[in-house]
Amino acid sequence: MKKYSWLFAALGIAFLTSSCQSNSNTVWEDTKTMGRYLHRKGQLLWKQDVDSKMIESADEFNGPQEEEYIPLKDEDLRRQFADTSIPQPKEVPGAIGSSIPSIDQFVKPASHLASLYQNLYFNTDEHVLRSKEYYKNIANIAEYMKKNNDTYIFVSGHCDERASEAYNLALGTRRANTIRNLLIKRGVNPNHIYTISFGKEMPSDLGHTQEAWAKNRRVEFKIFEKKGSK
Amino acid sequence: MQLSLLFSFEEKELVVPLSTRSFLSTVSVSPLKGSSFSEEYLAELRNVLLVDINRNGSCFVEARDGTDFHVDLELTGKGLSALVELKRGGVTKTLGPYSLCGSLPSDRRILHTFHDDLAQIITGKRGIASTRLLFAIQFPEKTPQGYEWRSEIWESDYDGENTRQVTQERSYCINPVFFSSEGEFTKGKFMYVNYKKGQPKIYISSFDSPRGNPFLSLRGNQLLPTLSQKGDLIAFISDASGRADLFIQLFSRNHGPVGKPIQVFSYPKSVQASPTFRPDGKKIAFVSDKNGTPRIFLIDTPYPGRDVSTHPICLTKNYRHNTCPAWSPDGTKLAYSAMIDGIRQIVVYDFLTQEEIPLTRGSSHKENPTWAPNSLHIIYNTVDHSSSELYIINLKQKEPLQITSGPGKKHYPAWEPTRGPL
Repeated sequence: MKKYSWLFAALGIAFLTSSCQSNSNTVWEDTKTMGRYLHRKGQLLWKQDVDSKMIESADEFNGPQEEEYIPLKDEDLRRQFADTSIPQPKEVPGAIGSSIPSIDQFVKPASHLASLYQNLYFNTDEHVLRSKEYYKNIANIAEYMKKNNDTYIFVSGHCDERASEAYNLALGTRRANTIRNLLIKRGVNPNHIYTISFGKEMPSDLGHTQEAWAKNRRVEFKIFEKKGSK
Repeated sequence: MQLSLLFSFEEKELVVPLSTRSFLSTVSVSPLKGSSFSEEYLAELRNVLLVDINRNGSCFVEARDGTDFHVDLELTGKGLSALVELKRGGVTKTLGPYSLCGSLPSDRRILHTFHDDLAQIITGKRGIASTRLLFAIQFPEKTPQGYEWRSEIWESDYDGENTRQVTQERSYCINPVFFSSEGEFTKGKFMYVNYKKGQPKIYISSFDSPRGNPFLSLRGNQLLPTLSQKGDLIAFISDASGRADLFIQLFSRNHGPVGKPIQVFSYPKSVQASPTFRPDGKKIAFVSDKNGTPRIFLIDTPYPGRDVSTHPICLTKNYRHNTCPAWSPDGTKLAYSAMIDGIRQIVVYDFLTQEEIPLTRGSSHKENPTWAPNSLHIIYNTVDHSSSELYIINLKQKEPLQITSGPGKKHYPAWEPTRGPL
C-alpha cells in the first residue's frame, strides 16, 4: 500500500489540476514534485526514517580502513534499492599503474560494432530509456561484452541545452550510470564499464529545435579492446 | 531627505556609513596630467579609474561642482598620488604614491588598486577592483575527423581585461576555483575539473604551469568542486557510488587532502549538483531534484562530535529549476539561477528576509553566479545560441555590464576571494 502512496497522490494532483490553464509540462512537474513529497511524508509517518544522527567517534567519522570513501549510513539507501547504485570500478583509466589506458585509447566503435554500440536517447530531464528497442540494444551489447572479455567501454552521458550547465553535468552522470547498471544487471563485468558525464558541453547537434535537443539527450559509447592493444 | 553623514578619523580613515542614504555618493575626479606619459595614455588610465568608481556600487562620478567627494589626481614623474576631499567637511586625506610603468596591463592593475584604496576612504570598505577572475573558455578545435570541443582555464582582472590562458591541457577543463587560503600546498595554485584521462577529475595547478595534476583519490566522475571560506573543506559531486552524490573532503592548505572523501548526501533516482558552503563551513547548500524539479537544499556539514541532520531542508520555493547556488561571503545571501517565464535568471535569496529576489531580466539565460569578496557584486555567464559571455552586476546597480567578448564560450566564472580581513 505504502509502495503506491506516491502514485495515488500523483493521480490526485493530476485530477485536481486538470482544469487549470497551466501547460502540460507545468502540471507534470507539479505532479512529480507533490507525489515525491507525499511519498516521503508517508515514509516519515510509518517511522521509516530518522531525522538526525550523531557521529559518535573519530573512528565512525573516518570509516573502515578498506573503504575508499566514507559511505553514508542513511537508512534511505538501504531500503530504497529499486534504484540500484553500483560503485564505479576502482581502477582509474590512464592513472599511473593502471592497466586501463586513458580515454585517448578508447575509440568510437567502427564497422560491425557501430551498429551494436548505437547512441541511446532520453526524454527531457529523464534518465530512463523509453524505447523497447534500446533495451534490446543493451542486451546485445551485454552479450557481446560477456563473449569478448577484453572489451572495456566508456559510457558518456549528454544533455540538451535547456537546463543549466552545472545541473546537466550531474544529470549526465545519472544517464551514464543508468546504462552502466543495465549492462551490469545483464552480467557484464562492472570493472569493464566506465561512465563519464559531459552535461551539455558537447552537443552532437548545434541546433536549437526540439529535434536537435532530442539528438543531444543521449549516451555514447567508446570501446577499448585490450587484446588488440600494443 | 536630510542626509546625516557621520565623518570621523577613526584609525586614520574617513568613514562614511551609507546605510542611511538611499542613493550613491557623488565623486568628481580631476584630469590626470604629467610629462612622463602621453595625454592619450593618461586619459585612458583615468578612464579605468572612472569605470571602477562608477561600478563599485557605492558612488559614481559627476563632472560638476558640489559632489560629495573630490579626488585631485597628481602625477609626479611616474608616481601617481591623490588628494581626497570630503567637500562638505573640508576634510582631506592623501593617497599614494603609486608607481606607474607605462605598460597598460600593469598600470590598469595599479589603477584598480588605487581605486580599492580610494573606496576604503570613501566607504570604509576596500573595493574589489584589484581582484581577479578565473573562468573557462570553450572552443571547437579542428581534427581530421571534424572538430572536437576543447576548454581551457583563463584568468582576467575583475573587469574582464588582461585575460591570460592559465592551462594548456589540450583537454576539456571547467569549474575553476581559487584557493581561499595560501599554504605550502595551495600557494599560487587553483583547482579545476579536467577531462584529460576521460572521467572528469579535480586537478590542482599553478598559475605559472600549463598543466596540473589530480589530487583526490576517488573513483568515478568528480564534478563541481567548491571550497569553504576557511579553505579546510572541499565539497563536490561524484558518482563513485553509482549515483550523483554530494561529497566533502577535509583539506589542509599545507598538506592537501586529509583523510578520505565523505559521502554527505545521496538519494535514489535523483541528481545532486553544485554545492556551496556557508561561510562558517557548517552548512552546505546544493541542488537536488529529489522532490521533482531541481531546487536548492541545505544540509549540515558532517564533522566529528556534531549532531548533523541527514535530511536536507528545501530552501527555494518560488521558482522552478533552481540551480548553481553561490553563498555570499558575508553569509546573508544566496545567488542562484532559476527559471522565470521560461528564461534562467539570477535570483538572490536573502536569509534575513527569506525573500527570493530576481536580480536580472532580459532574454538571455544566465547561470553560474559568483560573488565578489564584498558580497555586493556578482559575475555570471549568459548562455545564448550564438555566444556565452561574462557579465558583472551589483545589488545596488542592477544594470549588468558585459565584461568579455571575442571567440569562445566563456563560462564557470570564479571570483578571487579576499585572503584575510576585508
